[in-house]
Amino acid sequence: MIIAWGSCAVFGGPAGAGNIHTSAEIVDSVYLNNKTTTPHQPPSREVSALEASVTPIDQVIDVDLYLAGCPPHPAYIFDALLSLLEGRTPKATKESVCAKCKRQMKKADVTEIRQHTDGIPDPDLCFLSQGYICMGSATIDRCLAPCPTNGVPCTGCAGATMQILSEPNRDIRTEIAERMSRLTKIQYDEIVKEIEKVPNLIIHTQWPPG
Amino acid sequence: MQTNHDAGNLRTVRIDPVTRIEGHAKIFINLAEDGTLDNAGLVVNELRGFEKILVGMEANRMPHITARICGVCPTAHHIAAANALDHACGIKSPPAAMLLRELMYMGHIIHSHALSLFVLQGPDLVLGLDADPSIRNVVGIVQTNPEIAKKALRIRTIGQKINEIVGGRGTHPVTAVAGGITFVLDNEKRSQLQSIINEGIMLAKELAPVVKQLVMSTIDKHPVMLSDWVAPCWSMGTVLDERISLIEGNIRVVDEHGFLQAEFPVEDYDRYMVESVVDFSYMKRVSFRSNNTVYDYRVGPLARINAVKQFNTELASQELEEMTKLGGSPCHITLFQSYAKLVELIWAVERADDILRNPLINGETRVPVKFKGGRAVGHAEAPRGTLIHDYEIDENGIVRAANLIVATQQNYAIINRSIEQAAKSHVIGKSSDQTLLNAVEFSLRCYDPCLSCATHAVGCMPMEISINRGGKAVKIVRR
Repeated sequence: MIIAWGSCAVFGGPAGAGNIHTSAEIVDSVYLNNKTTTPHQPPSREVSALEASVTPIDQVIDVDLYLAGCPPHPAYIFDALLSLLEGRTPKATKESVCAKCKRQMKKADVTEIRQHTDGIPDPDLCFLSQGYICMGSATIDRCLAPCPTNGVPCTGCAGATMQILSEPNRDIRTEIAERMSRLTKIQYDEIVKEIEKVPNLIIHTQWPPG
Repeated sequence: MQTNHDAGNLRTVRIDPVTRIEGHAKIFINLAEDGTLDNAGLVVNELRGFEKILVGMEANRMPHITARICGVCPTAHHIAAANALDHACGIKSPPAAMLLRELMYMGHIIHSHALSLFVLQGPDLVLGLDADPSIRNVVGIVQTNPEIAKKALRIRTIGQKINEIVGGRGTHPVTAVAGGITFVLDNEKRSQLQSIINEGIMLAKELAPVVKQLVMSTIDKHPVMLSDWVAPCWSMGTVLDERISLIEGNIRVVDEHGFLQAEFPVEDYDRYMVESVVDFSYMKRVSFRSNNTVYDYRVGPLARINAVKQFNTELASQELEEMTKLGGSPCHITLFQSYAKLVELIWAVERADDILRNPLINGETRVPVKFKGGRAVGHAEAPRGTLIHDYEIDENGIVRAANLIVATQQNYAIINRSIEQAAKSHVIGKSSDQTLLNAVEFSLRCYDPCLSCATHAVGCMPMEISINRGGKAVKIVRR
């Protein structure tokens, strides 16, 4: 029985973002060109050689159960473990993070995308309505929405919703851009471009399972 | 456990895995031809390269992304990053935000120290180093002493709950951002917090004598811990108003006799800390540079107590006095890491109570910020010791360079020294593999090394101890 536990095992996660760089570049920044390190060749005895790339677990071995989320909420962990004991399929919801978020989606006259730290967001209004990019509507709920509930836009750490995964004409960028452009006066293309610009917003979801 | 005997007098010993430390590692012990100790060390066999991964990311996400470096001390990275961003924006977060960050942090310390004392290290203390590994674990503790185990696990839960209520999430909190904290404390959260903090104080009072008794009985069983397992070195901690502080203040360093050697704001860390590459491990070690000489030093609970010597709450101050009576000051007894954790655990629940009752916590929690381009340095005293985040951020708010110094790197030299001591007293010339190997593990666990932080690595590398003689591996022990 193999469980891919957490977003790194399922998708690659922040550790998977290491693939943007070669292992030689990583070694260089850690051992040879680092501001507080006396430059020296990387370790060579006792240690194993670094892998060429970071892969999600199911590219190496077969996985029986995917438990995404960073970390998955205990409610989903219990459900997963109980389902294994009872021999049933987990009841995990297919809804997006928005389903558990109490913020109000409202049409607004916002014309510009705001960075996460621009101004102070209204605590009751949907982030998209305020011009903040929030991944909640494109992200599967494996968390019960603690981030938007506590004033922080969703970064999509549990990965894409089932809709996005199962329908080839939908993806994370277009899903959010469509919704946000309807709620605000910000252009669709501008939103897509903004999401593509920012590696933080896509690192959790760089390996959507097929 | 597996033992392979090779021809002649050559032996290899491996423990696979050395359980109950964070992350994954192996230990080697090299004996000379005549059987005396040559050297011993901890091998960390992974590297993720977070310093490179962060480059190109939006700076304002650092508190969320760097928390993911470690599932055990995410709050330390979260707060260090938020402090660094405040520095980059040239602002100081409002007092209410700093109090909420500290309250979140106290929850984290309660959780981490309780986990370390009772789950990771507890089995050694409760069941003894000689106990069978199949019961020398948390299940063994529950069976031996269910009431204590329940209380110990409950105080850990309380810590994690405080962290979750204030941080938005228990593991990987999210509410500390550049400019403050993303929410204002309401009455519902306040009363929830007050009730679990009250319970925490009660539990800390009940658990304190138990931990103390365990430390003393461990010394009775293994007197060598007082005589030989002592590692004098310099100590580092964070000081604010002449008392121990965990998320703000200057870094203070004292020598092995307790004399002040340096005190500086965190942005000057690169003048003092020198990282060097170890040829048998992906983890770099850090030394302290003073007057062109480099010194080994220790960070973490015992080091903080050695460097700063004072808490600002009643029960913790009393317990510290007890600890000093038994272990002296400065204290270099490796086992007393556990006692120091206990004192900090007591302080953390008392401090959480003080913070929650401070009227300043009701003020505004966030100010708008702008990245101006330049350096961002911030720190936190992680449960295991001083943690520093240093970024170069451009005027568009993108990270262009990152440097991280974590606790276990700074303890590396002393960890290796402690392993050598344990190897000398428990491995060489003794017959029971189990006791010997448990002892080596124990000395490692006293530092509670967090190896995923130290190499910014994740993975599932089994841990092993190999004993080599005359340059050849001579024995393998697995369990």
